[in-house]
Amino acid sequence: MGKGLSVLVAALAIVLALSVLVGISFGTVTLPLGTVWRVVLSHLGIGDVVKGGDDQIIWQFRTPRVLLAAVVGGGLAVAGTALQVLARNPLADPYVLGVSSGASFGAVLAVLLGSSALGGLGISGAAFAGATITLILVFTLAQRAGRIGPARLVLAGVAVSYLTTALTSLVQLQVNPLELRGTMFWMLGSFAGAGWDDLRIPTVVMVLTTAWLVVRGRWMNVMTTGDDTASGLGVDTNRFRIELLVAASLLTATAVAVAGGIGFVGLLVPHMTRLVVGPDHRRVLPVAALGGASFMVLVDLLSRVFDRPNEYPVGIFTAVLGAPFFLALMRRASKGTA
Amino acid sequence: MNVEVRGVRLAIDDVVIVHDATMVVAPGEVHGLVGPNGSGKSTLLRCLYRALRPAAGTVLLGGADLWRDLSARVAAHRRAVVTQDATADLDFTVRDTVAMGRTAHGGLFGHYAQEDDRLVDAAIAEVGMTWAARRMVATLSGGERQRVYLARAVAQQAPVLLLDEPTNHLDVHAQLELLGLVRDAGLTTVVALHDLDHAAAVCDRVTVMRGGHAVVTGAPADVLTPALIEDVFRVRVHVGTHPLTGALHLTFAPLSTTPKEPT
Repeated sequence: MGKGLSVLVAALAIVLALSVLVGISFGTVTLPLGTVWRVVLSHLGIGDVVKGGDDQIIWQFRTPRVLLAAVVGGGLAVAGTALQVLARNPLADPYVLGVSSGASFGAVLAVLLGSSALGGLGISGAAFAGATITLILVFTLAQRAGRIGPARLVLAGVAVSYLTTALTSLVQLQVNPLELRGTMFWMLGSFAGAGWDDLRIPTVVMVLTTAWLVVRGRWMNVMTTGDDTASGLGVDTNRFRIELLVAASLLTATAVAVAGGIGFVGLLVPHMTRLVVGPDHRRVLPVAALGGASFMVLVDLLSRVFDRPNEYPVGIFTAVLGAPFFLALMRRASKGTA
Repeated sequence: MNVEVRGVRLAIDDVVIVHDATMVVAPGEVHGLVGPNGSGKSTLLRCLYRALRPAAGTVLLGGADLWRDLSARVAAHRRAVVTQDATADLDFTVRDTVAMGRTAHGGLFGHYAQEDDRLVDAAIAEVGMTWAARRMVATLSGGERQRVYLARAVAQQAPVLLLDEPTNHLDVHAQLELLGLVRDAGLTTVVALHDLDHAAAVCDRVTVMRGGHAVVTGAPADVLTPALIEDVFRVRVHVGTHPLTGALHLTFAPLSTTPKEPT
């Protein structure tokens, strides 16, 4: 099974590289393509150094933002894949466990109170803390006698997510209109303002977690056959479920902390991947990671050029593209169980 | 490898399902678990395949405590399982499904050794499914699927085989064929069976369960007496000899039946 996968992964890597180049080439401000290429090449050590505003727009603003979109898109796709295995539910995604809404709550709280009130956490830090606290809460609610049931996990996630969403709305009504726009943008997700510094932690988390899950691909396959069968085949299902939960949370919390709440990528990409490469997670994970990265880069580009010079939150576009897919999937799933 | 269940109590959400089960399965024997619905057969098996931790008592596999001495992975080197929940994901091919039997033997990166390939092919051949190796499990009949799950357990290369009502939903031919394959596998086997007649024909010994207690263990001919069956299963029974095979043969009638005078 190795050869076909290598070809597909190589092809997707090329698609991703092209998406990144396209993402860097177009944007709110129109620059000649020749300039864009010269700047990128100069920073890769080829050709002359380009000075001035063009260099700054392309290398300090666009490039890190496009790369962050790739990292976050890939991370969310991998997180969704893990959560679907963990919850044994095709409709699971990072939103279902309330991680995204918990992070949003942390972020708007930081906006309202100022970061000093939260012990010097910035908005990202507050979002990460919100995601982590939500997760511990969901996790505690979902377990019973030391075991985590998939159905209980989803229900606890949905309940907690409603609660944090309500609290977020409450806080939003207290902030002034200018800040409100900022929190809105953040809740729907955006890569605007990303710099090179924002890229480091998400990249490390994303690469290490994905690699770890690929190593666990066989166990993920076995998990889809049911808890009893998985136990029989030698997987400690409860421990592995916790492992998957930690991996998915780490990915989601990191992504939400840097880019806000971006829905549907974690749902859409794993399913499209499974349609193409089948159910084997050793294939699904790398393909979903690369596919999610390209998808997010292109959606981010759409958010910038849709109504120039205005920028829109990416969450709007992922939802517009993702909702019909979600509904189609739901209709198919309910047909299957009826 | 022998299997020992000693004073096991099992509860699900604080409801005690198995109160006190003790049984010893000798190496190489086919051991049946029989009893009415709700008697605790499946629950006891779930404990043996390490999905349910006992509230009291111990389970020993070849002398090692399943819960204290063996990890999930090492336990899978000692016993393989055919469960009732094995229907969840049918998107895998027969070969990929059977290859899952090698999960506990894989290296860190989950790659297959050549040895794994050979064992998987041999297991598929053993249950007569080589012709369907590349087919999706979803396209197979119930009996064929059950053979695939048996092959997955065989590929695990464990000395003990556990099966939870493997003949459910199968037609008569598929039932007999599957039980024949289980016998031919030659492993120490614990099988929960609904059908007492199958248990009588296939098992070396049976343990009868009622209301969460293991009532009695012994050879089918000694244990499955009219008095016990009437008492535990609340049916009238005629114990005879199968006219074709010579095996123990049970025929049932409602408790209210008045036996006809022999003619």
